[in-house]
Amino acid sequence: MTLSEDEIMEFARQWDPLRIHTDQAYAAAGPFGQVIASGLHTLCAFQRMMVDAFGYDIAHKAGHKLELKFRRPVRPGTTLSGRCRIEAMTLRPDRGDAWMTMHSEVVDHEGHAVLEIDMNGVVLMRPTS
Amino acid sequence: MTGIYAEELSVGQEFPFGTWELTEASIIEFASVYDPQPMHLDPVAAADLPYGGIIASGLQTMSIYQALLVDALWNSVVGKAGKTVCARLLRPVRPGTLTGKSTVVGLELRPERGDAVITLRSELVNSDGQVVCEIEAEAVLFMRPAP
Repeated sequence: MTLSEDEIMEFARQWDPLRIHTDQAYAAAGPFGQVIASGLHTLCAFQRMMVDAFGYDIAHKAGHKLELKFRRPVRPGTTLSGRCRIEAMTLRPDRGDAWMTMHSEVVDHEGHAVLEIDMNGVVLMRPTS
Repeated sequence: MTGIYAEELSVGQEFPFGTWELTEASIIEFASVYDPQPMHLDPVAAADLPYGGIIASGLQTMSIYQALLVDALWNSVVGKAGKTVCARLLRPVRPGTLTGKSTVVGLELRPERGDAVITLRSELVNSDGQVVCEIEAEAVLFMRPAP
């Protein structure tokens, strides 16, 4: 998924209206020399890629906790990809669900992690008939 | 640069949020782009799911927090970069009015670098006064440059 400069500024105007994300002239004079994506925008791109990759194949109830570490700026035109790994899975048959811990990385086209995400959520167990 | 520098803030300081009107249309619009799952998209399907109606994507909840915090604080400080965010999504978020506040819980001045790490603990509250989301965030702010 690639975030264009227009998309970066449009997202930020609504959800994270800091000038480093919305104001080209201001950002040009700053440390990155151009606007960079809101960290939330990167997270949203990650979620869209996750839903596209796994969709509703994972029967889940809810996400509970998200820990984000912003590692590098995401510049316009950067093509993002990512990966995730299940770190822990605790089955709770009495409740019919399981507690899942997952570590994910959003990476840029050079393979650098730009955002690390640790997530806890509840997924469903197969219903007993 | 003008604005509040790190050393002008202190632990315990609170920043009340304004309000945000969250509509069902906005939940669907956000989810159709970033989080296209039935409980965020489809009122009919959502009615049969555990929450019994459309709920906002947790990412939209976090985005509303950020928009309110930019207004309440970030736009007034001289900031460098966000570092970490830890969000706990405590309750489903339905259409309605959201507000909240942010409290400074940590401030580590680093004069040798001319900056500081600030830690904020924030909560987002729904129309019934229930906390729907707690977020702890660290960011790097500038100290006032030496004259």
